[in-house]
Amino acid sequence: MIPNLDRPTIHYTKLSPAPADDPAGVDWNAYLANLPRLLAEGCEGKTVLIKDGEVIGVFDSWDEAAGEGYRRYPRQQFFAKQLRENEPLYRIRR
Amino acid sequence: VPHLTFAASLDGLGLEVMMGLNGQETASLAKSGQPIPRPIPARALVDTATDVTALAPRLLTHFGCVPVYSVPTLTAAGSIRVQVYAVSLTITAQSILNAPMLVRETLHVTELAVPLPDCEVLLGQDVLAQCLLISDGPGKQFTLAF
Repeated sequence: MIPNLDRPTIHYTKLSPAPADDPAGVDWNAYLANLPRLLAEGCEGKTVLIKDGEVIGVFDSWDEAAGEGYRRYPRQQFFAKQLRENEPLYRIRR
Repeated sequence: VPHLTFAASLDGLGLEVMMGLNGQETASLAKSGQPIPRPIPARALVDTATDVTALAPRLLTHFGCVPVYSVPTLTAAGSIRVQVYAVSLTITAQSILNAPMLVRETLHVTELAVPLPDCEVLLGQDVLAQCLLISDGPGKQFTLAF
């Protein structure tokens, strides 16, 4: 994962869904849709694996989730993201 | 402390790095007997104003990288969500025998949005946070210790 750099955060309820015409947005929207339930189940800090809008599983680490993703979907896109109530806002060059 | 010293250039604190597939994907390809693209060298610039290391699209395309998740970010233009890719990074000095190496088997990076001349990697705070960086302006060199 990107290391914790003590950046300002944004609460997950303030994150915007991806627009309908964003092909990579299906998994992001599935992440947002499932996040409240997974946080309520105590999964904060774990990593969710999503493929084509479907939650495949929740793993203890990103490495585990990605390992499963690469095994199931070689050379294909999947979504493996740490579950966070407060999302860091990283600074990037644009 | 293992360290590497590089000559500073007119465009900043530049160095050569090796980029490759990340550890998990390499292991998965090896297990299934598929070819593994070899790491390739790329010119990098140290960028203390970037939190997440960024790669030129050419490098991501070379390795067939696809995004593994996305994150909200702050830019000069406001907050946007960007795709994150997973690669590997090695910093060393190719010309020195037994030079120390900083290896990140899995480094999460973004795509460099604006092409930069003679630079395909912006090394951000995600890597620098592991290092001691000493910039010797008058001596026109810098040192990374890790």
